[in-house]
Amino acid sequence: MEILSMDAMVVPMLMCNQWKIHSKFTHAINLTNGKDLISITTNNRYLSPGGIRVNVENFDFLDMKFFDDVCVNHQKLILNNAEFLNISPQIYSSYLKPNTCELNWIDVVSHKNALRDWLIHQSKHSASVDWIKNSVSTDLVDAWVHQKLITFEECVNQNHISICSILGAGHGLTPTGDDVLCGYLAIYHYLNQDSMIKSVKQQLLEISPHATTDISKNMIFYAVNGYFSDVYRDLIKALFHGGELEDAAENCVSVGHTSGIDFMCGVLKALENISNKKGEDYGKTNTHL
Amino acid sequence: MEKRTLIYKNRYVDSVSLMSLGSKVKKEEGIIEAVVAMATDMNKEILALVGLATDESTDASANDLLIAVVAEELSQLEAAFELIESSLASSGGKTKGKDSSKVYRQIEQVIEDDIKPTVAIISIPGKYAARETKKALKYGMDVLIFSDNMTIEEEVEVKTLAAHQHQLVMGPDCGTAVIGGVGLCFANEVTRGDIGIVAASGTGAQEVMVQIDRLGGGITDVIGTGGRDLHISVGGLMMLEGLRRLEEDEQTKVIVCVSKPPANEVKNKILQRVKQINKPVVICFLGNKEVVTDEGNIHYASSLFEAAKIAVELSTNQSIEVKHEDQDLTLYEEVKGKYAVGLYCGGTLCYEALDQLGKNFEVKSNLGHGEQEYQKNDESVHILLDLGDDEYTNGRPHPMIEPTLRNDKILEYAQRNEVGVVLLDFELGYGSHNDPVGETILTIMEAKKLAANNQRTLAFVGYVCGTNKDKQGYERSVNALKSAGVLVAKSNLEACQLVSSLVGGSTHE
Repeated sequence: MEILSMDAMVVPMLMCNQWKIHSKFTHAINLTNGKDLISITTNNRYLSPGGIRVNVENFDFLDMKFFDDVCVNHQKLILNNAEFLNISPQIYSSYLKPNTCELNWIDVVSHKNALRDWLIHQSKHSASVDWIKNSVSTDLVDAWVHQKLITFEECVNQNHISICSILGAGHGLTPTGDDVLCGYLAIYHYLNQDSMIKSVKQQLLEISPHATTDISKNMIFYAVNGYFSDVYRDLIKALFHGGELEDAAENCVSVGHTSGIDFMCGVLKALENISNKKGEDYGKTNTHL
Repeated sequence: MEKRTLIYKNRYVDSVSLMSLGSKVKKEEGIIEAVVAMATDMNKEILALVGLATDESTDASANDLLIAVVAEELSQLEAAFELIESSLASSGGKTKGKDSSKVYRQIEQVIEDDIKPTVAIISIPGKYAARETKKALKYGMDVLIFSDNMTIEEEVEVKTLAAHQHQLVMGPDCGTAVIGGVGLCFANEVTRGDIGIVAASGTGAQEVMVQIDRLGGGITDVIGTGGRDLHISVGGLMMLEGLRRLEEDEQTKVIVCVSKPPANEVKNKILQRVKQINKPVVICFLGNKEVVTDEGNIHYASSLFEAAKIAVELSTNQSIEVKHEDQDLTLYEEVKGKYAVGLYCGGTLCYEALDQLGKNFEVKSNLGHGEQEYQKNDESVHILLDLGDDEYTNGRPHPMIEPTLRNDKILEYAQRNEVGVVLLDFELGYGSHNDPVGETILTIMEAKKLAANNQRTLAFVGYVCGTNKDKQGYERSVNALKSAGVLVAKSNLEACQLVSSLVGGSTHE
């Protein structure tokens, strides 16, 4: 098996740390050094932060002993009996560059409305979609998460982001609340809302070790530092600079069961929060933040 | 009431499996509540709030899997956890215990296990479909390609290969087939009999098989060809192979051929082949403008219903008298002169409606060409929309799978003052939504209310394409529609005739 590509940040991480096998799924094998995660993904998955993409379609054929050491050298990665040759992988960056251009807010709001419409009409169900649609789920966990999201949104509207109200809330390996938070972080990072980002970073230092899963913590850690999967970055670009928003949204749906949807709901709500502050300006001129 | 909470230490299950497991358990008999989630602080909090927390769950870490179930009885609780255990085992890629089914990732693995399947259904991104089709053909299988986005060059290549070996390639974009009594993709549960269908249209084939069943006939096979098969570059390769199959099949006594009108060159080739068949063949080229007369073993039908009727008459050697149910239209006098809007889930049914209503009215449709082509700002004209068309389904499920996607459109048109009639189809059977009528009925009632609040009368005409053997139940669906004040037709053709009568055109032709 051959390594096709890897995130630029992974190269030094691999060289400097002792890695062990953390978990394995059909399309991903996660490695851990006790603090960070690196994700080896199949060639049919999106490019994730801290990711290594290899040329297989699934990992079902591999048996892994969890917490076994991973052998790393310049030529290959060895996980139990599986070898991934490191010949000349393509290096990518998962960093979302913050916006430096003047934004056409009339277009941004129109794209935001299109995203809302798309989210309301897509077929996947999640607590975050209930939140957007203002509908109530009969699912116990979803109804609970919905309430948490409302509380979170009310705080954000008062310029106070409180991650403990949604962290780890919901189904899935990356619970709904965490994916929504990453959506918010993407917007805040892109629009240079440094105070919000700083606040989240501070709160992350204080969270309980059981607040959320390792995989989710890792995702939030990357997000708060501006690293996002390529499908998420494409969505942000489409929202702010035009492009195939529907295609970008459809690609996001492929992330997890509802993770992509939850992320988009977070993006939408964060954007609504920010654009409401700019509200009256839309009709007059192309303003920028 | 029985409840149990279990923690699976350091158990990672991917989100898709996790969520489907939760839904699956909830559907089991007697299950009141089921929580399947990672044991994060937040998820443990909700467990405590609903009284499902245990010492073990309180101590669980965020990387543990938490499953809590509440059931009416202990036996139901046990059954739920058995299901959970077996699902978790299979999601880990391990061989299932009691279940003998096995998941294969590649066609070659099936062959290595010495299994000899006769049909492969290909439902993968279109750009890979030709490659997998060739593999399946190589191992002697017929192929149904549900995928679309296969290039026409690839279609010609795989169909030429198949025809050379007397194999079938149904598709691409083939949604309906019945092979050896087994319905594939979207198909209805119909009586077995002696009528075979080869069709280049999905809901067209469904309508014919359903009407045959209702008229007392039965089906051998339904061979789908995919909509492009009669395109000049494909040349009807699979229509010809389908005809050959049905000709050779001893059970098949009558053949029905359904499609939109093919190119002349292809049509002549098909008719030439049909003439050589020693069985009666009913031809229904929907929308055919040429005047045709029966000739030898060829019987022409101008609608899907007529094709079914002729086929059953040929099969039973008895003529069938069609009785129309008298519908009381006196309540709807006000809609005369107004416009009708057909919001179809079935593409061929929409096309048939365009053909039928287009004879008497100016009609626009997204399936129409030239003067009949629909533009988004069209109004003050009869409109027929195929909501299963790519422009409406891109990134969304087909409305036959998720009929609620049509509800917004129903409300949108119901509020237009110029609209007097809304025509809807409902497809039952395998593959379709479990209750398409149930998903729409509240919207119909809301639409009627909106119109009434506006001092308007709005008539709904519905057609249910299905049989009583279909899981959704034909009678049940029809009765539900009637109870909501919908005028229910017995065929798509009759639905069009009803619409004509309501808005002021000709009645039964």
